[in-house]
Amino acid sequence: MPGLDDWILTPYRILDRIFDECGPNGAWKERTSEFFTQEINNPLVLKRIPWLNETPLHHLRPNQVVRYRGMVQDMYDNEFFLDTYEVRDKTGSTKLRPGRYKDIAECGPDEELVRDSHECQTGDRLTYYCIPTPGENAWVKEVYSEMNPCMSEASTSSSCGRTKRSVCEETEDDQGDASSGRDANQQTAEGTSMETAESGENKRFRTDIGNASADGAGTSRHTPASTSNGTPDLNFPIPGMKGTPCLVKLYDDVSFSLNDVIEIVGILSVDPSLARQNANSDNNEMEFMDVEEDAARCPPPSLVPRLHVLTARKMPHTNPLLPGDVVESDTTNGIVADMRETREVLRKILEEAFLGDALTAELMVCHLVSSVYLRQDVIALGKYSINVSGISKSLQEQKYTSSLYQLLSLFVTQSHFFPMTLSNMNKVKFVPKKDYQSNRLISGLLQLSQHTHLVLDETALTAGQLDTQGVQNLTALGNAINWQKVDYDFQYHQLEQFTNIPVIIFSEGRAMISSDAEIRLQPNNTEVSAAFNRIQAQLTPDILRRIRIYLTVARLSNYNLSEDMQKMVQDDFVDSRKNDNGISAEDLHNLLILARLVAVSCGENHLTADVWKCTKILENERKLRVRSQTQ
Amino acid sequence: MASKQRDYDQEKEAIKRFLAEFHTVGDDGRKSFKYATQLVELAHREQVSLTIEIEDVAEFDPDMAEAIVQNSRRYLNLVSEAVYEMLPDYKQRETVARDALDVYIEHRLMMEQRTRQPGDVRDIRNRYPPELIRRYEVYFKAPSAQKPVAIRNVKASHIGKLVLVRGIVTRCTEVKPMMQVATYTCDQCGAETYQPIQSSSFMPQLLCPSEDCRVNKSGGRLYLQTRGSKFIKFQEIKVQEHSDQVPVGNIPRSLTVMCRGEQTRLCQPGDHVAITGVFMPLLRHGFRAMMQGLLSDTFLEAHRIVQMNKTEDDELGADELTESEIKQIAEENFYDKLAISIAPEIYGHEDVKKALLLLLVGGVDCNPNGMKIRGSINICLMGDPGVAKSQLLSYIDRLAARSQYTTGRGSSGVGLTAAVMKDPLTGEMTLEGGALVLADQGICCIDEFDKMADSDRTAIHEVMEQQTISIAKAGIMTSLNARVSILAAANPAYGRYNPKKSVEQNIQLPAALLSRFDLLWLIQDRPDRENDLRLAQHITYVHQHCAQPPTQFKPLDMKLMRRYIALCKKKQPTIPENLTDYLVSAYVEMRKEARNNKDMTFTSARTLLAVLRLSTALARLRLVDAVEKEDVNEAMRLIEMSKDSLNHTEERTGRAQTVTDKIFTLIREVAGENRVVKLGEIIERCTSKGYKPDQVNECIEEYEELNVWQVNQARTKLTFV
Repeated sequence: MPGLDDWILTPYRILDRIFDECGPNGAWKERTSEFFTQEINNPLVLKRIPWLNETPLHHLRPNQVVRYRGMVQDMYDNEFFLDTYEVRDKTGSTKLRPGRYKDIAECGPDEELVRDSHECQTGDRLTYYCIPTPGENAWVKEVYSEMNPCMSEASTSSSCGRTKRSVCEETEDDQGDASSGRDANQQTAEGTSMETAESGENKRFRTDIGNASADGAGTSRHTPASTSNGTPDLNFPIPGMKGTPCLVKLYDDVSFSLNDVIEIVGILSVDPSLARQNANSDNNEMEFMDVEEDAARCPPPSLVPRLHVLTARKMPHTNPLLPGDVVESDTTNGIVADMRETREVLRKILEEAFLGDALTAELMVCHLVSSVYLRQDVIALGKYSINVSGISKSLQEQKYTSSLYQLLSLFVTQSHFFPMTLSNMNKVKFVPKKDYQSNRLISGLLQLSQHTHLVLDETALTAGQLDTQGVQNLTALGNAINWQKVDYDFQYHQLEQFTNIPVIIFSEGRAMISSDAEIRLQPNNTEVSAAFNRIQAQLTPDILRRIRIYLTVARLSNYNLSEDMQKMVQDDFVDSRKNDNGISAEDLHNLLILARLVAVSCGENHLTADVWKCTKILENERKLRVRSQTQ
Repeated sequence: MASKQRDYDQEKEAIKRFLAEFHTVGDDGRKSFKYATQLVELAHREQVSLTIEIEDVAEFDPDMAEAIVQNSRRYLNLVSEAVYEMLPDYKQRETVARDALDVYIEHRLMMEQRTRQPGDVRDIRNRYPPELIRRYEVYFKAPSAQKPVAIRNVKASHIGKLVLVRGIVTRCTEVKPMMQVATYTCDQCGAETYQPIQSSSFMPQLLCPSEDCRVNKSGGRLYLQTRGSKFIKFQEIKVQEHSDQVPVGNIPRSLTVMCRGEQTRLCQPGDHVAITGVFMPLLRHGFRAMMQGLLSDTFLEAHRIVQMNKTEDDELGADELTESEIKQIAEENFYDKLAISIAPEIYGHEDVKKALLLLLVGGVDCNPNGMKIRGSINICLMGDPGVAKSQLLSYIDRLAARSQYTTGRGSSGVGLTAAVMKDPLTGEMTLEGGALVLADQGICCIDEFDKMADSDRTAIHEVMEQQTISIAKAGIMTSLNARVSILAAANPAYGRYNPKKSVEQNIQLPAALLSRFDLLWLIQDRPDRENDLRLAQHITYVHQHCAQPPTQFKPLDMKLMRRYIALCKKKQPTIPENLTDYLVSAYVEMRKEARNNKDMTFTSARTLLAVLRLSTALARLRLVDAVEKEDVNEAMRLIEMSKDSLNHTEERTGRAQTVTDKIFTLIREVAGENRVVKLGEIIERCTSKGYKPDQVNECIEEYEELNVWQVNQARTKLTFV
């Protein structure tokens, strides 16, 4: 059995060994995948595999095993490759090699690939385009990088202080590092010329970057690099998002859904020759359509590394503070015990944040743990989008909404703040659209993974003209909130995609887009900065940690409605219908959802009479406030 | 290798036999040689493509048919060779040269005959490649029994095989000439050299390979002869799988298709097509092959492209329903069952759902003496905000095989009808259909019907009765078919329905438009203890079990519903003679009543037509060929209920009128001047008004106790006291 680091750094050796043992027609595919799965299932081993998200590319060796987490943004067509290929050396003798988990054939200096050999087997694999989880908050990244094993021994030329530089720059740098630091035997004879050309280019980049870093501008660096290289759009749903996207190649027939957040262990492949559009300009091949497509689909691996999947799984949640499978593990038991306590802490903080408004704080807690748990034809149950209205001019001037968002982003794993200004509404792409030119799904703001809190700031909206795009955006937003679905635009037809994104709308009056519940904010004071300073003092690392764990656990916990309670709810409904004509089936749905959220947030896994009563009081109070405002 | 080769030689002979001998025996007992006649036409250049149907091959030799499907490319060459060798025998007369290449080939062949001695073997490099001489194309047609493969299931194992895929064309290139045989001439010796090209790129030959140049070492340079080269039409298209083949949460996949020769220009982006083709890896040359990538690009070499109509490609209607499925549907009270299966998540509203079911099935069109009477049923749903109108609409939109969903405001400039657009590139004027045109022979769901633009409103008059749209815009005068059923939803003008006002006032739509609806429903939300409790039970159940509560029957699967409806649509039931009297009397009765009551709705000749439509739809639903009395009764009941829903609201203001009260007034009406009424007559009248027999009996008993009337022992007659 080879040593641990051995297979993490040089997985191909294992592959070759098993291939040689089994022979080309043997069960080498199964055996390899079995071997890797077994190794990776060991949590101790898993811990030693570095995260691609947190490690700059130049700290990693090409063809080593890495971990990656990201959202499936697009799914490409099946890819056909040589599962086994034949090489011929100078003497004319041929040999079979495995082509699985590889992009480039491994040929020795005197060997050449025999493409039209009858021994070659063709296989197919799936290619997913994964992007880092959109809206992932800073604290999540921090926790992951703390957990990331130190990879300094693997890197060839690393200097300290680099970790803070933007990813884009790192990848550019890495191109140089990777090509210069690569083992000689891994360079293919044909690849050399390309690589030198590449590193020549890189020198220019480096000077560019050098100048830029002299200015100390951290954010604007993306532009020079991207324009000079003609970098393809990385297709992030949130404009200005950072991170390394990945082309993930899946071999087993496991299928994930679009927008799933998946965790992958795979072999990193960054061979520069994978970028097809480079050096192809003088290549007069009569590919009619594939030119643009290739440009978009085969971006330089320094920007979009390839990952050959050994194992992949869907992540039920993205909270790094909790183990992968929360429901089964025992660790949650302790957490559940003090859930009420944590809830109280959180509620207090939110009450402070809502300037002393206890009701809003209460409902906000419910909102934070909401998640769609059932879809029935057209209804999505479990969503609880809220509209916090009544944010007055004076609060707006104190930048209240963005402070609130800052606070929320400390608690939840993914979130995005969207000021609904006119130009934003008109210009930002909301709905993902299929571009048949490049054969890609162009991402839009609403392509978010589940449990990404979308915070809309309607106070930023001014009177003015919405153009066609703006109206469509508004409709899409409305659909997303009310039905939790987005109709992706495939030009010839629309593809309905379910979402699960909790939405908060901050507005002055009642929000333009209807939501599940409107809450009228009734602040006791208007000292925004003072309130947030007080909160800041309370937020110790321990408190933050508890709140973060609490929110995820509460969202994932089970819940049931007993027969007795059902009966009570039914009678209650009938009675209230008698007294008040305005109550409809919709209200009952909402009430039941809210009751669930109240119960779950208190750590209860079933509805009790107390919770029901409490929920009704909350709901009545909320309605009263809204009504008193309109009259 | 040698044994394999011989196999193929044998196969070639077999193919030759097949082509020459395959025949079908016609009705008159004469043999018609399907392929031999085509070969004659090929020989005379009257036909370009020869399509070999695998089904025919299978009849001739099943093994070979299987082999063709498995190894199509090889057999394509074999068939081509076979045809090439056979063609001279089928030539019955001299053909006239058609184009430059024909002349060219003719000359070359003549030259060869003139200069060479028979038996003299020509230098292999300078020989005419068969591709140059062949002026025909061979294609395979997959057997019709072959199941189409979903594009996402086209895997590596399909390489080299004949596959049938279906999808929508998303992109296609211009048709371009592609070089099939490059012809060069040498500047020294003048000899011609040919280079057949198989892939998308080629390396031009530079040095003359002919005997003269090689022996003399004169180093003749080759120059490409465009006139002598053979080009073939070439087009590349992209096909994307249909949205219904895409599993939830996946992106539709696409496939590159290469079309050559006769297969080009057969489709355009947006077309639904079925393509038979050979799935092939793309050969790469030059730089790309050197990069040692392990990837190979693949494409489908098109053999047959068939455009499909969107309605026809709906396979759901194609398969017959199986026994068990028929059984599942045709149980007792299948009518209720089907109705409840519509939008099961929306609670109650059984009668509305029944009406919608009839709308999906549709009545029978009839064209007596050129006059067109539509069969499609139009329904308008009105109601207070938040009574799930839109949900019902969107459910119907999804259930119907062909439908369009729009709002009355219309999102684009096209609106509901049609617009004349100027093509930005060519400057041509084109017609672009709006929702009503696109939904032809389907259902057009229009939400917010009351907020429709005026221009659309006038157009909709025509659509709803004549089922066409006439356009006179920008010099284009045309009439487009719009055989649609309209399902409209409207909000009351004043937020809530005001029962004191008439329907027109409430919805602010002209009576002319409203009367075109067969049924107008007012959906209202009224507290009622029993209903509320059931509703509450329903909702709590959904929340608890994440599923529908078990009703008496499981709601039917949407797909099954679709297929059943498609089946129903095939029936064309008629109204038998003996029912006409009944219909006429019923109509007269309705008219009389409408005059007497202060009715908020209209009863006109259109109502009679509506009854006919609904009853034919009901007969269709039962899969029978004749309308029965019950159908008419049920149709009248639905119309009555829909009227009731509009008039019902009055009750709240006046003294509550119970069902019994109403039945009593009815019975009084039936009785008129007479003191004795037949019970059967009463029951019949009451059912047509939407009352159930037990309600009637209840009423009769109640008033009997009050001594208003007496019922005889046999319960057949009722006598007023």
